[in-house]
This record gives sequence, C-alpha cells and structure tokens, in this order.
Amino acid sequence: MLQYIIKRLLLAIPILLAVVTLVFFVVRMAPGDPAQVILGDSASYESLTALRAELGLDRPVIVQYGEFLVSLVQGDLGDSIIRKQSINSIIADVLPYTVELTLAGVLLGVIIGLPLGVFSAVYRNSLWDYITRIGSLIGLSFPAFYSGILLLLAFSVYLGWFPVVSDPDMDNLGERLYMLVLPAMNLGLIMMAYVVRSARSSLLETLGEDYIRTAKAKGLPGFIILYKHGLKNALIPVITIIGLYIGVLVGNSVLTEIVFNRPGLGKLILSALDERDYNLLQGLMVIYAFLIVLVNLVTDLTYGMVDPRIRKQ
Amino acid sequence: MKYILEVKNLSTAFKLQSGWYRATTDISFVLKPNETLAVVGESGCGKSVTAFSLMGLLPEHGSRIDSGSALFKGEDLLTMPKEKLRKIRGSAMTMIFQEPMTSLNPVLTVGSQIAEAVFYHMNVGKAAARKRALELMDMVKIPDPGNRYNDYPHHLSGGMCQRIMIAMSLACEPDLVFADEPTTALDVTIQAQMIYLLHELKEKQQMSMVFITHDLGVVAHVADRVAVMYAGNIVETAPVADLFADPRHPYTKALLKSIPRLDKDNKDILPIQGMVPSIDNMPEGCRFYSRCEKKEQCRPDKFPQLLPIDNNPNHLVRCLLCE
Repeated sequence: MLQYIIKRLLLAIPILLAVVTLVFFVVRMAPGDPAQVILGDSASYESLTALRAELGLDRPVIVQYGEFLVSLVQGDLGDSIIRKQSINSIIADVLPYTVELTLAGVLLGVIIGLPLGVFSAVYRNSLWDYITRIGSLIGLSFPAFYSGILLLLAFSVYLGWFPVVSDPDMDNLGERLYMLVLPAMNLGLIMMAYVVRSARSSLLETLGEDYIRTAKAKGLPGFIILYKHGLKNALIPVITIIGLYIGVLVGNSVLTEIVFNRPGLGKLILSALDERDYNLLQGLMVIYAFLIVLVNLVTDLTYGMVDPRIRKQ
Repeated sequence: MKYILEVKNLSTAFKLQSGWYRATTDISFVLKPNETLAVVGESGCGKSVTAFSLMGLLPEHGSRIDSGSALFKGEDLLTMPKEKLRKIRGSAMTMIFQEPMTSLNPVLTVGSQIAEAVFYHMNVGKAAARKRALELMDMVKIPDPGNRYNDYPHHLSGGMCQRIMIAMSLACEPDLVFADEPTTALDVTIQAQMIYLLHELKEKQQMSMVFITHDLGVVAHVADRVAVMYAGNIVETAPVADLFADPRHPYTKALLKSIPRLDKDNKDILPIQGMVPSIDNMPEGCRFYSRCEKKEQCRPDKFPQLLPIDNNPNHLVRCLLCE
C-alpha cells in the first residue's frame, strides 16, 4: 500500500512539472509589466529598467525558469514581487480557509446529495424524483458566482441571517463557522447536484443487476437489499464523480471566495493576476495542481476500501 | 400433503410499447414432495417467467400476473401478503440462477452471502449463521471452507460460484428449489459434476425441485417428470421415461429428433422449420400450427387444451390431433 502511494506521488512529478512550465510561460506572455504596476503609469523609463533589474526580470526568460525550478525542488516558491514576502508564508496564511471551504462544500454536497439520490432512484419517476432531478439540474446550471449572489440576496439581504459584508474574527471558532455557512452552501449545492445525479443513475443500474435479484430471492428485507447489496456497489462510480468534481469545486472556490469576500487562495490569485505578480501566480498554480493530484490519490485509495476487486492489485 | 406445489392457470403478462402481452398462458402443473419436475423448452418460451412469477421476483414495473393460483403447501403464493412471501422466499422456497458469476454480490465475501440467508430466516446470531454457512460450504464440496469463507466472488471459478449459490439456496433446508438453468453458463466438464451434486443433495435433503433447462440430455438424468413448454404454454407433460419413449405432441417429437447424438450418424437430425410466434403476435389457435408437420390434417383456428392421453392422467398433451 505504502509502495503504491509513493509510486503515485512520484508519478505526480511530471504532471506538476508540466503545469508549472505552462504557467511560467503563459504568465509571461500575458500583456502587462509588474514594474509598471508597482511604479504607476507616470514612471520614467530609467526607473522602470532599474526596478526590472532589481526584480531579476531583465535576465533571459530561460534563466529565470531555471532558477524557479531549482528553488521549487527545494520547496521554496520564491518571493512575491509586489508584497516582498515569502510566497510560502503568504499561501500558508490563507490555504486553511480554502481547504476548509472546499471540504465543507464536499461534505455538505455528499451528506445531502447521497440520500436524495437514493431516494430519487427508489421512487423513480415519481413527483419527488422529478423535483429532485430538476433541482439538481438547476444546481448544475448555475455558475458559482451567480448562485453565490442569489444566496447573499436571499439569506443576507432579505432574511438578514448573515451579514453581507463583515470583517469576522477568524480566530473565534464560532464566528469562523458562522461565516463558512453561506459559501459552503454555495459550493455544496454544486457538489450536491453532481452527487444526486450520479448516485441516482448508478443505484438504478445496480438495482437491475443479477445479484440484487439473488438478494431478493434470498428473502432479505428491502432495506438490507438497498443498503448492503445495492448502495455499496453503486458507490463506486459515485466516488469517481466526487473525486473528479472536487477539482471543479476548487475552481469554483475561487469565485465563491470573491463573491463572499472570504480570505483564501481564490482572492489571492485574483490580486496576483491584477498585480502581474508572476512569482505568486506560479506558486499558487503549483499549490492548485498539487491539491488536485492529492485529491485524485485519495479517490483512488477510497476505491480499494469499497471494492475488493481493486484492493488486491 | 399430496402436493408441495399446485399451480393452476397461471398467466403472466409484460408491458410492451403497444400494450400488455402474456408471456405465459394457463400454466398448470403439480409437484409432489421429493419430486423433480424438469421444465423444458427453447429460450423465451416462458420457463423462467413461470419460476419468477411463483417466487415473486418479476420486475415491479411492467409485469403483472393476470390470472391463476399457486398453492405452496396449501397457501396461495400469488395472493399472500408480500411480507409473508418474503419470509418463505429464501427459506422454504429458494432459487438457483443461471449465471453464478453475476448472481453473487462482488463486494461481499461469499461466506457472508450464505450466512446472510441463514441470519435473516432462522433467528440465530451472527456466529451461528457463520457456522452454518461453513457447514453448507462443506456440504457442496468446497475445499477448505474456513479460508474460502472470506473470499470474494472474483476469487472463485464459475463452478465454485455455482456451488456457493447452491449452498445459499439450501441454507434453510427448503421444501422446494427452482433451478433456473443452473449449468448453462458452466464448462461442460463442470456441468455433470453440478448436476450430480444437485441430485445428491436433493435426495439427502428430501426436497422437491423444478429444474428449468433447454438441455434434454440433462432432463433424462435429473427429472422424475417433464413439462415441455412452447410459446408460453405447457404442451406436454409426462413421467420422464414415457416422454422419451412415447412423445405425443408434434413439438416434443420434433425436439427429440433434433438432438445430435454421438453414437449415430447425424444425417437425420431434423431442425424444426419456421420461427416461434412473437409475444405480440400470438395466433388465436394452436401456437405450434405454423411449424407443425401434420398441419394439413389440423385446423388453425381452435386453441387446444391440455388433456390426458390414452386415459393416462399422468400424460397430458395439448394437441388437437391427439384429442
């Protein structure tokens, strides 16, 4: 098992390298100049050149790329151009917020989505099934920034349950959880929609299998057939979907953080883009790519827990 | 108790796009204690549908039982409350299926799948259920049951899986077992083993069996009596020796003539001409008429009844020419 995990992590290296390389060059191809951003529009040519030299931006791109890779291997993402601070510490400061938001979204989506999907499959083609399916379709169709605004309108503006804008004390656990509710709901709705649909179709397929007929022929009670024989098999494709869409959720967490004005990687990436902070942008991309690789690994390991046919290999 | 199972006029219908159609019509047969009835017929003739109807395993949507009664130890399986049928199913009345590999749950150990049948019917604890499962695995001749108990179906061969299925069906010492083509999916070399095992266990456990097959060779080995089905009807039923020695329905005769034999020159194998009528286009009269070699002497518009022949109440035939 340990060997498998190490192998998977080693396989992640080429993926990370490709992502990093792509980001490094794409960022530098984008119009705009960090020196210009720092010094403003009225800066003189001389001061711009001097600043570029100071930031190391006047050297050939390939040299910059080499230096970047060398420090990356040492686990050092370099310093932010604009903030004059170690990128490692900038990211470490906000990473927990994004992780907690994404996890809360996944958890909410699975906790609500799975029972709804099962319900929808068991009572297929009933009125409730149609309502659930249409609801999940709406969930799929709403972009995160739009559903976020709707949530704010409903729960903050009309109902007044949550503040629209606030400056919460994140060291206070109660306040921190309170501020997590709406953004987690926003992400959770997307996850829920995916989970409902995949759980429904997967369970329906499973319930048509021969071994379900065997379980019925054995005279087992209905809920044992559904949960022990049906759901355990139906979960395998659902886990794939969950793993896949955690990636999508990480992307949507950027939009959610911006709409709800939450600290996190999303807000950081937006300002890094605005400021043409090449180094910070690269660092963030490395972290994102690493998160996705990690999620995929965890997904693969989860299969083995559910499906004995995979465990042995 | 004279009969363990008494089926009368059972008709099962399925919903197709253009309406409800009967897959089986007026199925009637009886089964004595410790008797094996072989149900023979080609694919789609309604053999399995009959068994599923009696077991209450028809799909919930798109199927229904139109008429009939089925007394199992004196109680009607078709009208009893679902919960009561569930308790009979898997304990007093069980079923073995055609595809052992897909009929076992891939994510549960084979031992636990046997123990489950014991646990939910016999009012015993988990440990006792496990012990019984190990006994059963030994009984169906699975070597080293202690280790095999924790294996998953994908660790076992098709034959081993079918032994597990048989163990499962015998878990609560049933009075009646439906075996739905239990050897069709297995290698020929395993088929004989499986048939002997089933036969041996049936004798040991004193139970009745409905053995569904399309293999007439198997029938001669296992059955006491045979019911031949064609296009949703039983067309002939007789003790196994009578049926092979003196088949009376033209379809049974044709079926017996179409068996290839190793010990004879097979030039005179005769396939049956024509096709089985489809479920949504059944003729009003005799369903075998269009393929019958004696149709010139017969009439197409009258539907024949299943009647005794030569005043023998054990040999029934559904044929206008035999009446």
